[in-house]
Amino acid sequence: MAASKDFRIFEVTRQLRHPRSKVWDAWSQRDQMEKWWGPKGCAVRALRFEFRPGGFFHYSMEAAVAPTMWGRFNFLEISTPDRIVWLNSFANPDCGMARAPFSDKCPLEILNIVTFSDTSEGTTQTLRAEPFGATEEEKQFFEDLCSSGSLAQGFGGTFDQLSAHLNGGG
Amino acid sequence: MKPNLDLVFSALADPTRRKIVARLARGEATVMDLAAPFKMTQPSVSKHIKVLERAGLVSRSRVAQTRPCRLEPVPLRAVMEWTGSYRALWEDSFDRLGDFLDTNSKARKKDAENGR
Repeated sequence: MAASKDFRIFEVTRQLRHPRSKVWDAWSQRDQMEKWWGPKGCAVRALRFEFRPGGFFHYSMEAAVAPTMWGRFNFLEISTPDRIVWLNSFANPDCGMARAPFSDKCPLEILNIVTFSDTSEGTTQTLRAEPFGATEEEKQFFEDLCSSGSLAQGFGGTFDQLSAHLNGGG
Repeated sequence: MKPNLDLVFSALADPTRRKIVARLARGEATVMDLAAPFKMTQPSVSKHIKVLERAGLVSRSRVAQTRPCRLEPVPLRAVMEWTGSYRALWEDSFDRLGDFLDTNSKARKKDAENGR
């Protein structure tokens, strides 16, 4: 899909010392996904897990000190064993899309693409993300913000000052 | 007032407005100061500033006649916090994925040794 081009707004890469087939299992199987995915300190329980384009992974996130929250993946593309594309958002208990329950700081649906490739040591896994439905200009801004190199350019080379300002002000 | 991230994102989508924000990070400035580096009339710059004001990124003094502009850090911080927390979510999950795969493969080895 078009979004895969120049898709470097938000990127997290991880080297795993395991073969790609095992990594793929961890992403594509309900019981494995429950074991590793989710916010720190939350027990994730899959309520729906339909690992196919158009399918949903609907889950609850339970923490000791906070009310239960729900989230969902809406799978758009699954190319075994190379990449998975999905929209991630908060959800209600019925798998409908919802705003973040704790703040209005994450108002966006996020488009995520994870890719896997073989290395001599195991597997490289790269996750890229961007706000879904954002205009090209907004994406450009997001990119400026997220990649440290262009961040400086995006803010006219005054990012250090901006940081200092953010840390000191407000 | 809580920042509206949609408004903040679209206010900052424009390169001129990002430059204005960068300039204001160095300190207060009047519209005239802000217009100086751009090939732009003061009314055009004022329009950009209004957009930044609506997003809560900039406030203007009511005291001085020149009404200098000042950067409000809360909305920008909200954007950065959001980005940071999304990164943390995935870094944490990837840590657990690594641990999970380690444990899983050890368990499989053990099963194989026991002839299961």
